Amino acid sequence: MGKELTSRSQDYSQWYNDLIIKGQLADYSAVRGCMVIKPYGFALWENMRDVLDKMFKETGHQNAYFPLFVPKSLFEAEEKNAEGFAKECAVVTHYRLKTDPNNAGKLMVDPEAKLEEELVVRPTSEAIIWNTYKGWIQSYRDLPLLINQWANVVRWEMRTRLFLRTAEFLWQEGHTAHATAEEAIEETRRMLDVYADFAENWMALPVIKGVKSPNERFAGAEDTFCIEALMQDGKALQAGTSHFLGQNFAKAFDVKFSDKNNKLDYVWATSWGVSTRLIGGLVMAHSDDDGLIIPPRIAPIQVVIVPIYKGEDQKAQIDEVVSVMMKEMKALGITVKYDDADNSRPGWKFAEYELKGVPVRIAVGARDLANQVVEVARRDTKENKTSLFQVSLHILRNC
Amino acid sequence: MLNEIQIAMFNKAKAFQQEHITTANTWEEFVNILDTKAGFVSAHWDGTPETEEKIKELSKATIRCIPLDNPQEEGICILSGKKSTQRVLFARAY
Repeated sequence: MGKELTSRSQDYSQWYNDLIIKGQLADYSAVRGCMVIKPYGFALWENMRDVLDKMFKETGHQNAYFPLFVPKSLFEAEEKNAEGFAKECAVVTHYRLKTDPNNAGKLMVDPEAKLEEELVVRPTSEAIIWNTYKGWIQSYRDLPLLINQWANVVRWEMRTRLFLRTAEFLWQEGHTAHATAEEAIEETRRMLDVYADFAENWMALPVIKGVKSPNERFAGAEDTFCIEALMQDGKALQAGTSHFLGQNFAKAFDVKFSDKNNKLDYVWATSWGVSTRLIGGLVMAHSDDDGLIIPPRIAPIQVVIVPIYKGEDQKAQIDEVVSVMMKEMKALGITVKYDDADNSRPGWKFAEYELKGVPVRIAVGARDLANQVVEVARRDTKENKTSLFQVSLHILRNC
Repeated sequence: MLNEIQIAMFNKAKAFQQEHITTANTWEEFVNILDTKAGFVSAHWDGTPETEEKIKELSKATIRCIPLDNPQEEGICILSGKKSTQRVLFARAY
């Protein structure tokens, strides 16, 4: 099959890389430390993003979008935050290329196009956002301000790994402003609960909620709360963080509000984020030596149907049955794929969908048609059983 | 069946997590757990950044978190031997 996978006991890290690459979640790219998220991996991310986005909106947040570039003078305003991220920042210094007079067909950076002020590619967006909030917040009526953004960020990591640690990654970052410390702390904890709920109930990933020691705190935070997950090799993974930022950013960017008695005070802040790193955690926590195992609630394909037949007549009979099954499954909100491609054998397809971690596989054989049965196989336990069409739908729906 | 799978996956991972939260009371136990069983190790820490740094240097394990609603418990820091008021969760991490 050309899909030989490294086993976990052989080499855990190679196993992980094999699953990502051969399971078609992502690929290496021409840029060191950056990856390409392939359609199957992106569909998984989209499902995760959609669930989280709904949870954020249900807790009163709105989405907005802020610039990729942060002027250096803004970036350095909150000193601890700036110091913490300084060593991993990509910096834009020029805005133009020109043809190289000494090297035909090549381009060079135009030395005359040097920026007056360098632009930092955001490693996180507190600086640019709090600089913006200064103009948005004057009075207690403007609070709380509950904003989230879906974005990419860049952290120039030396040792990178697909999904777990990449130089560029996708994430969401929530940035909120409040009138009191209590309210901000409450928000910090609320979003930690949202993350734990998402990890456990959607990703089937049990987590421990806790607070970081001062050493492990987010740069610029008063307190960092986190969810910690455990991988199959016994290593932990920080799966999400929620920070109580105190008045640090409000002071750095001079964001004050007047309360009901017209008294001026600095605003209280939180920020919180999860990223594509979660996909790495999902892979490492659930998969086995035959491939990925994706939890049904976020799986890009929940059920795959594979026909087993000889000749066009049998195929036509199967198609007919499958079209009815698919219609009923779709009506139940199940994401189903019928793989009737005739360029690969059923056995190859079985292995392929096992590798991709599709939760349920249904095989429909011409011989079984007479008996009105199909074979239903679970990816997680590898159990399979033969059942009647109607029963198989019943099983999918009710269990 | 989809629900059943979702729940079974969580339960399996939860059981694994529970089996991999181990208590250590001495430095030897601590290192031994990290090197053999791995997972989270619940141990006393004196609360200072210096000790935390030293533990990281010697064992490659970091404090993952101080669990919410962590019970207070008198004890002795696994490295410094100083007094501690609660256990924290250590692990080697990604």
